Amino acid sequence: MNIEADAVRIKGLHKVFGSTVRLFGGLNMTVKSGEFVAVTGPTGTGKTTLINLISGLDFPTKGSVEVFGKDLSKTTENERRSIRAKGIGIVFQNSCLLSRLTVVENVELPLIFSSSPEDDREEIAAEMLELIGLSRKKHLLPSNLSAGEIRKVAIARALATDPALLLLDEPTSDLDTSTIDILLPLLRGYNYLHNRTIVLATNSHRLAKLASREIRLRWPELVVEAIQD
Amino acid sequence: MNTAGLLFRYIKESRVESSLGAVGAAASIAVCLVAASTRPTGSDASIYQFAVSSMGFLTVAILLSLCMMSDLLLSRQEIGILRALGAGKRIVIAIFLSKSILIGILGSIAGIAVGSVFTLITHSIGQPYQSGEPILRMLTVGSAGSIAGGLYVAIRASRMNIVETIRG
Repeated sequence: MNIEADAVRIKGLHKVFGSTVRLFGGLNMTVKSGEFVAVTGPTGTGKTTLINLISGLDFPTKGSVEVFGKDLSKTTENERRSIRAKGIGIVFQNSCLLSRLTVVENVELPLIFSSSPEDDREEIAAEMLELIGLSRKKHLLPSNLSAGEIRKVAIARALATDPALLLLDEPTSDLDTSTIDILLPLLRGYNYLHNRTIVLATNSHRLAKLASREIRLRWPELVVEAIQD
Repeated sequence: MNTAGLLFRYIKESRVESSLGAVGAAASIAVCLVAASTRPTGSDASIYQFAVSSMGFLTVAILLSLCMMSDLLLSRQEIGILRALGAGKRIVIAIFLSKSILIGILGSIAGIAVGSVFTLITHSIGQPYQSGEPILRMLTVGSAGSIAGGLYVAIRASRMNIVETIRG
């Protein structure tokens, strides 16, 4: 993985589901390293699919997706796994915490898979939880948390490995305004201070305004790019 | 936490299906042990023992694959999350295989205990019986059946489509 290369480069992207749903219509887009890009658009235009394609969890029907200079369709499953574990942090649309692990253990998970030193894992996870204001609840199971807290833990988990590319799929959908107020500076700081790349799929205009560039997806094929003021 | 700790958390989570799997394996091994301990008459002894062992192996393998399949359906989304976060196929295989082997071995030991009691009872009413060797054979049969049943589900779990499993 070459972190000097463009974080994401997509060429001629088509994704077909069944025989009727055709997404992206040959989308070309580049996200430079250190850039903060928001992908917006109505439901069904392919925001989540785009996040899945960039993370190597799904494959395009046609076209290519490169992440830090690596064409994901030309990599082995093990290479994609390694890229995800070491270079990409993902916040899924439905948060996806493991119900049988405590909050701190959930945050430790990506550190296990990225082979971080065992002695440091709990400490890093605890720091992440402190950052999002949940250190008091680190030994609780996810079933004891509110929807907003679960979302915050998912964000802490994605940040735990200090990934070069952070992918967020509707990260504020369950959150109240005060929680969003805590998270927005966190994301902005992660982008500016750590020079990390963020691709954010959202329907929230407030969140999209954080980004330096907005890519609007419209069904079925039209793609409009807008630069923020 | 490390990979072993993660495996332990998955194994120790005992669901009703796991208990039923262990009870089923125990019953199967107990019946097969009683049958294997009874000395057959005539020249077909080796065929008889082979048939009993095969029956035990198949029963345990099928029972445990059903039990682990049920476990997989319940934890499908979690397996998808683990894979999406960077867990390799080997970790997923290890989760299901180790759980299946543990259930199989515990069930086999319980089955051997129950089967031995029944064998002793049949001996006391005058039936001839063999001791020692059938017990070892049934432990092997139970372990092999649990590996076969668990491996089938473990491989299926490791090959699941990550995007579909995360959606739940």
